[in-house]
Amino acid sequence: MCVTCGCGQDSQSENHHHNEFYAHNHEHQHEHIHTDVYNVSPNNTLLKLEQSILAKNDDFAKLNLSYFNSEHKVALNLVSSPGAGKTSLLEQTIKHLAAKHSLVVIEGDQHTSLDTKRIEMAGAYAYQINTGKSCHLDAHMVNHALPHLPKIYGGFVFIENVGNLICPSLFDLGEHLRVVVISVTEGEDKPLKYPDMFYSAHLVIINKIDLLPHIKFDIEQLEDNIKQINHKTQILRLSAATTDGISHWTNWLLLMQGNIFPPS
Amino acid sequence: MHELSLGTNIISILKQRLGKDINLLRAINLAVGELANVDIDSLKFWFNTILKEEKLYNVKLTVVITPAMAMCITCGLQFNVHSYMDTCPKCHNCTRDITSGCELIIESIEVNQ
Repeated sequence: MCVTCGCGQDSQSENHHHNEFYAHNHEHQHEHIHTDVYNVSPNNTLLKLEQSILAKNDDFAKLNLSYFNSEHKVALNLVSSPGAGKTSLLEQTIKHLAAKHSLVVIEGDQHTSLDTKRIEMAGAYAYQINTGKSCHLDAHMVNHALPHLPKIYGGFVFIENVGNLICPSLFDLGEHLRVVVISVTEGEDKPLKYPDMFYSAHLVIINKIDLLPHIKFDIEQLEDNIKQINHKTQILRLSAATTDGISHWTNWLLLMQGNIFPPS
Repeated sequence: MHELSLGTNIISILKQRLGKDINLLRAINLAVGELANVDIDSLKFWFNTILKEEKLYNVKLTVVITPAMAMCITCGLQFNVHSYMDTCPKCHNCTRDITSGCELIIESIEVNQ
C-alpha cells in the first residue's frame, strides 16, 4: 500500500504519482554521430517529442529539493561501492553533530533494515527503503520517504544510496550535494573505471586511512585520478573507524549548510 | 541494470502520451549522448523484453549517439570529448567541464496512421 495516498499500488508503480509533471522540452542543435538511422515508414506519422527519458525522475527530484529547501535541510546523496564505509561514516557524523543539529537518514538497500538499525543505535532517525531488484534509489522512492521524516526544521538529510558506483550516478534524487565515498582498500584507478560517478561528486571522501600503513596503496595517485575526472570536486581523507579526519568532514558539512542556507 | 529502469521509463512516457493509441506505436527514436551512462545493447535488450511483456509488437527502437562537448576552464576552448579522461587539446589541462553529451532523449516516435 502506498503510504502517501493509501492506494493499493506500490511506490514503484509507473502511473503512481501525486503531482502534475510536464514533458521536458529539450531544444538542441547538434551534429549527430549515427549508430542507427531514423527512416520513417510511409504508413507512419512521425511525432517529435524531444523528451528526456528521466523526466519523471527529474520532476520528483525537483519536488524533493523543494521540500528540503522549504525545511532548510541540507540533503546529501552518499554513494560508494559496497563496503566503502558509508554507514560507519554516518554513525560517526551522528555522534559528532546530533547534539546540536537535526540529522535524518534515508537508507537505501536492496534488502534488510540492518543499516537503519545501526543509524538508530547511533542516535538518529532513519527511514528504510528496500529497492528489491532495483540497483539504485530514484527520486520517486525518496519522495515517498519524505512524509515519514520528523518534522524538525533545519539540519541535514543523508540519503545513503545502494552500494553501487554505476547506476546511482544517473538518478538525481533532489539532493543539494553528492558525496562519493571510496576506501583505500579499493584501487587507485577506481575513478578512471567509474568516471560518471566521480564526475558527479561535489566531495570525495577517502575512507579507512588507518589501514594505509598495512597496505600498498598510492593515495596521491588516487587523488590525481579523481582530479583528472573532476577538477572541481573537493577531497577529504579520514577514517570512520578511528575518527581521524572526521572533524574536517563535519566542518565541511557546516560550511555547506552556511552556503546553502545563509543565516539571515 | 538501470537500463531496465530506463526502458520502463520510456514505455511509461509513451503510454501517458498516447493512451490507448499505444498499440499504434511503430518506432521509437532515441538520442543518447556519447557520455551518457547507459549501455545501448543492454537498453535495447531490456526494452524489447518490456515490449513483449506489454504485448506491443512491431515496434522498432532506433538509437542515435550524439557527440559530447566540453569547455576548458583554463583556456576557454570548446572541444569534442569521447571520455571523461579527455584533456583539453590546446593546453592539455583536466580543467574542463562537460557541456553536452550525457543526454537520454526520446527524439520522436512513429505511429501507424
